[in-house]
Amino acid sequence: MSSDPAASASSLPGQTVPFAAHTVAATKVYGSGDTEVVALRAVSIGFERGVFSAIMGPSGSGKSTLMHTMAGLDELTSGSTFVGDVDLTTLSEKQLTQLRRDRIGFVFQAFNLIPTLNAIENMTLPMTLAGRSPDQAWLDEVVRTVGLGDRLKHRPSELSGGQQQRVAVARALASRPEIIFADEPTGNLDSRSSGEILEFMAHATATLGQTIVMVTHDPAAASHAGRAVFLADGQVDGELRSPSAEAILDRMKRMGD
Amino acid sequence: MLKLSLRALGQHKIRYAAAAFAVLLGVSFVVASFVLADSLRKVFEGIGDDIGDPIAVQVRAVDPFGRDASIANERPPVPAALLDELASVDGVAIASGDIGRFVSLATKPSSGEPEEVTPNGGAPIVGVNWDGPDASVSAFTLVEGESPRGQSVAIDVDTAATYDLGPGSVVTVTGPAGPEDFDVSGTVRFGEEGGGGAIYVVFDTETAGRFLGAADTFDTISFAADEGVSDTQLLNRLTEALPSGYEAVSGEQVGEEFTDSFGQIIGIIRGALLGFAGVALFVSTFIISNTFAIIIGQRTRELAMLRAIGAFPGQVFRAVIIEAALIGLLGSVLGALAGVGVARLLVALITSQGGSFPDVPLVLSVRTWTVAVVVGMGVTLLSSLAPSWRAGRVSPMAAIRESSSIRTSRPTRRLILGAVLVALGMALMAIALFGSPASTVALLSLAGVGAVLIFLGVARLSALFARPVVDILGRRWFAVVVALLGVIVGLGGVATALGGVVSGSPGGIIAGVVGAAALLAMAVALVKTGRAGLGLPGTLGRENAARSPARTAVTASALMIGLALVGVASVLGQSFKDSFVSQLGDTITADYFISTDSFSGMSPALSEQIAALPDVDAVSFFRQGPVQVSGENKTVAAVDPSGIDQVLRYTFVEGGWGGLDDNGLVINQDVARDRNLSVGDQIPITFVLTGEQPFTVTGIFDSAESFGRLGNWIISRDVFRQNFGGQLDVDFFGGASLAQGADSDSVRASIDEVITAYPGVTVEDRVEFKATQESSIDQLLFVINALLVFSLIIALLGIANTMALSVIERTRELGLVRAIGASRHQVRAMVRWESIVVSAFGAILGIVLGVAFGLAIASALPQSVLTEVSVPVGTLVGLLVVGIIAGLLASLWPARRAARLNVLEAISYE
Repeated sequence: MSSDPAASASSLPGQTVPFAAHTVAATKVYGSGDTEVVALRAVSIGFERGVFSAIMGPSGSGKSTLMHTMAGLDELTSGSTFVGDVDLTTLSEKQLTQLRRDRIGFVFQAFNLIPTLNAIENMTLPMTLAGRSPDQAWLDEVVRTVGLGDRLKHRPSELSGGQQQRVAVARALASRPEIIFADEPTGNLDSRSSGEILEFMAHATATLGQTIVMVTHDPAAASHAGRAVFLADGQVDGELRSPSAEAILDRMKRMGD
Repeated sequence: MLKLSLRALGQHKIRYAAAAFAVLLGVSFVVASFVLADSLRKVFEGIGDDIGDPIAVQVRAVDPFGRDASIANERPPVPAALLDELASVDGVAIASGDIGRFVSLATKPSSGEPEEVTPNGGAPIVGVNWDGPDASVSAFTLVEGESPRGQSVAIDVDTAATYDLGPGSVVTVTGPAGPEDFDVSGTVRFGEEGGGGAIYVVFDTETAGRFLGAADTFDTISFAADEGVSDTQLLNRLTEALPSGYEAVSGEQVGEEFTDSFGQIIGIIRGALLGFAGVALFVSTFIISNTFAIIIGQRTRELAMLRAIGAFPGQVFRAVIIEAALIGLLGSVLGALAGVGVARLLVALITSQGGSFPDVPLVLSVRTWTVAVVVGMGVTLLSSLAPSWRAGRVSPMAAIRESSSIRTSRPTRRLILGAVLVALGMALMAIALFGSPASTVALLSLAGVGAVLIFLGVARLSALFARPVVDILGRRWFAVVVALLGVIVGLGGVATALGGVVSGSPGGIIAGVVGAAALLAMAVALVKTGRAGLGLPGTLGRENAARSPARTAVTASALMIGLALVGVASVLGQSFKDSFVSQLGDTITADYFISTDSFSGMSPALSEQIAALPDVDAVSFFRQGPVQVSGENKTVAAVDPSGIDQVLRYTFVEGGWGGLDDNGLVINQDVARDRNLSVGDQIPITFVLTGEQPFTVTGIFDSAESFGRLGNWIISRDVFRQNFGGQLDVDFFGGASLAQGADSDSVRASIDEVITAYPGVTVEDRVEFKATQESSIDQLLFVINALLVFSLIIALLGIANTMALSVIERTRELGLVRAIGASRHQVRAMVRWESIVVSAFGAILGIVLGVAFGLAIASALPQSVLTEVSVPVGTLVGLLVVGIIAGLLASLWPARRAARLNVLEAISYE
């Protein structure tokens, strides 16, 4: 595995694969016997490069499990999941950690930042962990896109929720990962801040060519994505391209039937 | 990554403060032990230099026993004739014979009462010879007046100033031959240091020979070299001129041997103090590991986030362990600085309990700094290892899960590990106590490691029964107990106030009022908490204490250790007292006990005077000296066989005292068995002065005999005197019994009359003797308990810290309780109650373990040491009270913080 993400983007054989990440018959079962819960039922899905995708579904549909397993945070019971052409199920814990560090970016719903580090330190944390210095030109571009201006030296507690989440997205972008997984990134934000963040992510895919996969149950949030995939009862239940909030809402309502 | 650690420390500094303070306290105790030992050593080095400096060469008899003892008068003496012979050796400028004996000293003013001269800091009063700077090779210089001649003495200048002595004063000096009056000719100073508090009484050589019992002999001969003759040249020339049986050594060596002779006792003092410091450090490890475990628990999501974005477990582990290292470093450095203060405290403690310590400048050496940092950081790193390891192993998924905490080791594993530790610890203890290990060091280390394992094991096991015990303790009955304790403390406060007022002095009144205020405040807090414990706050506090059994167990265990050791000491102390009392009834038969606390011992003249008193039926005085038996160094004890039965009644398994005066020997049953001796058998004993002498075994006493401590080899006092000559011709203890029908008051008065002439000698009747023995045990217990207070303070700090961290952790929950209508008062009571319940749990664990250890040790001690085993119930109840009060004190700040939470902020707290 290359340690330079800039180089890997062009040299990886993954270029021939249209997906930044995909799964093959991904199955996840929690517990056993009476308490057995099947979270994913042989899900096979891919997420294209340079696209902002949303995974939608009601609570318990398996959308979070799908994201966690695709991001190498959780293990599949059977099946495979790939980042580029690397099968995560064949990797050791150490290799998974390295993969997360070098090739995946994360945005979480809450508690996204290290409270003791300031904004810019948080953004460069993955590089710090890898013992690399950040690509300064790229970092400048990300910082400009984030638009935090003079607040870069502020601690998270001195930033608003929206600003904190922008720092979190910037952190995911800063190491130029092949794919960013965002887990309900607007779940804790008011609608105005949510809008800002979602636009920022859409902008990042459009202008920076970043791949983003977002898990959400909010149709308004998903409408910012270029593609919405629906999950129900651990299975893929259709998708919409360039969806509007109304279309998604409509689709979600039908899913409830 | 270092930045991450530093920032985390900055962020959590209050949470980490307790851990750093625990390190500080533990380290300061270790440092104090070294500081005191180094300072003592420095004092004796100073004296050693003063002794050695003026001497070019010293000639002395070769010690026939091959000891490296530097106590001159334990060697055979040097005949005065040898001095004359060696004085003519080429290159000798001055040759002078040395005589030194411990003496007692009292002033004898022309008007008013005589005053006994008592040295400070446990130093001796030494009678020595000196004929002025031109005639003697020694470190004395004349300060005022003249050097002594005939029936006059010079006194060291410090003592002269303290007791207002000078040329023209009269003093009474008591030596081996009894008391005599001397004029003071002048004052002298010994070397540069003045002899480390020792008091010098200086005679001319002729008087010293007569009065100190060394006529025509010297302990050693010291030489000064002519100009142009090196010390080594003189040493070589003298060595050539010496007859066999004598040796010449350099002055430097004489000084070093003096210093080294104190090395062992300094080592023992340091070892004892380090033992207590080790306990304090051990308790600190509980606090440190608990603090880290809790803080890491609270930072789980942060650490999991690091893992999710690609930090390796090793990186997270390093980030946390670096925090620990920095805390350890901070605590060590501050602890080293605080150590000097603690050393002063320890000196104050020792002196307050009748102990003594030279007044010395305190030395903080580079070695001590190194020890401080190594110990402090070592302890911190070691105790944060497990929590840091778990921090590294946190699942990245924990960053996403709503609520999650770091998994602690599974209960079954904890049970097994705890049980294994306890079993191992008990095995080691059993080997230590009943397996008769080769040396005291082996015994202490086995028992120590055993105790540590048991403590660690119980700390783990106790998590299993923390919940049920807390469930019983947290109930209404205990709330009533706490409230009643509050009432008692309150009454104590009132009594303190009254006592202060009655004392009448302004200081007494202030002390009374301040003490009463503190006690009353505590009483109010206890009563309030007890009352609240009856209601909802009690239920919530109890549930909180039971919520995290592992945390409760570790917190309580820290308190358990200190209290267990206090418990051990009190069980043993009580057993010793009871054993002593039972002996006083059965086997200690004397009516009066004569003893001295001075180094000089008691002149045999005293025993003769007391024996001669009318209505004194029998006396027996005791002394000891070094001998060899079949090449081994032994201590032989000597008694007056005629009076021994009326003083101490030995139990014989064979024979008795009869024939002791005729080179008879009484031995311990164990010695008899080991050497296959029975009554009538012959065995030679070798003396320094008279060489090998034949002895016949006349009696064998029971090995369970408690007086076995006086000596395993007992000869007659007359035979002792014949074989030791003028050396060691003093008694250290004596007993006298009344004639039948005698008037005890008048006998006592006449004994008192006799001893007034002997400074430093006291007489006690049975009641006084018992009180003295008991009070010396009490003083020892007080010192032990005071040294354990350190551990208790650290434990208290640990409880406070756990409570504070729990309050932070439960901010939301506390806000919720307040939001739905609990008053500040109720929230405060809830936290206090939790703290008291946890502490009481720790106290109970400590009491149970302490009694168990105490009984185990008591049953392992031979009957000759301990005849009775008793459990001091009052003290144990006291320990529970200490636990409750520790819990209350520990909760003061956390409870206040909890009560002051802003409800709105608290419920929105993330």
